[in-house]
Amino acid sequence: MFQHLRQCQRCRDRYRTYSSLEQLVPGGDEQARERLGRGVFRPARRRAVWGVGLGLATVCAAALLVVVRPSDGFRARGGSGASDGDHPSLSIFRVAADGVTRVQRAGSSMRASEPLAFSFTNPGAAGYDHLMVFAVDGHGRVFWFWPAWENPADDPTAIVISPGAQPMELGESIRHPLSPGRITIYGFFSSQAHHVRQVEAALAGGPAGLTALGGYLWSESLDVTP
Amino acid sequence: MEQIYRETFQEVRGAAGSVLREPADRDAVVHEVFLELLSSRDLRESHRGGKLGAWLGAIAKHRALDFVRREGRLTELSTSEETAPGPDPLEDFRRELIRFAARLDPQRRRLVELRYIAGMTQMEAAAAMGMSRSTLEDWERQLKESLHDFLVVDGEGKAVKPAVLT
Repeated sequence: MFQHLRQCQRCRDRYRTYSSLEQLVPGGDEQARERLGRGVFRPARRRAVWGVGLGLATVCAAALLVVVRPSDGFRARGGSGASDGDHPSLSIFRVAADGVTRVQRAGSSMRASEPLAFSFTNPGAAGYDHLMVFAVDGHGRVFWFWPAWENPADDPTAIVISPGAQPMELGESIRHPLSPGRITIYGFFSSQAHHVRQVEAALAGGPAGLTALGGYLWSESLDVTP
Repeated sequence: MEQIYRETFQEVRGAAGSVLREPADRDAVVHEVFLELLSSRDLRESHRGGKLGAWLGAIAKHRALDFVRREGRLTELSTSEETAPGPDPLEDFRRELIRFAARLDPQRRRLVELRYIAGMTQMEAAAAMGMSRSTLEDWERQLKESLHDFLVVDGEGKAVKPAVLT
């Protein structure tokens, strides 16, 4: 990023505006420290935030793959990963010590300590170009996988995805401090770059609240075991 | 290493900022110093005791001076370490922010005043304005864009983009 900033006056101007505003708000210095720290320590670890203001929770990037590319590793180990007709879909993978195991359809379970990885299909007809992946547990807590929500002061937006009927990997596995019980994992495909806070506000009325934002909501439930 | 980063970040950023007024350049140097600390055993072993923050701050200052020479961004700077610092760029920014706020409708002007001049949190400012925090956050996002346009387009007293302005 800083390499780009050296050469792009437009981005330098924007950085100046945002950075200066950051210095004027309470906690701005800490925000800056966290923001820049992600650039320094990113390869080693990754953090995420529990939703609805529950605080910072450590997660672990157990495997670093590639950011988004046509998948072969996941498919070879975990089944077809085929798209659900013309709709986009998500595949969930448990990352265990012995490899990558695809989580089966409803009724599957995972251990609380297991990291999860994802791939998605996004058939061209649907034309979605943004994706958010998160889980909601029985207590209504929201756990963000994509985008990462690392700083409570931030409000990251959906990740950008490409169209394609072939599975594409999201390149990190992520572990959240899940509690035993039922969780539902959502893949929210949209044509807009929604923000995580916007989605959480919509979720306050249940998953149906997300439909007001437009897009396509994929979901699958898992039992989390100790 | 992360603890060292947390404890010394302000000192390192302050040292880089004493030379580089442009935030993108200042933060590039901060990034460079910590990355080097993380990856270079030679650098770590060159610390001969004393306060870590002061040592890293000195490194950051030298890196900032190197950066200025390398990038040729000498216009507002002196390469002399003894030169008194110029006016605080954040003060200049505050003045521009006030000028920007004067052009906004009363509600949005109040938001700027509460958040960026009075230094309230989003929750405090939202309560003071009788709106939800998420609404305030949406307004804030729009304001940032408008402010950016204002500063760039209006940098020399030219026209301001209308966006959320009155």
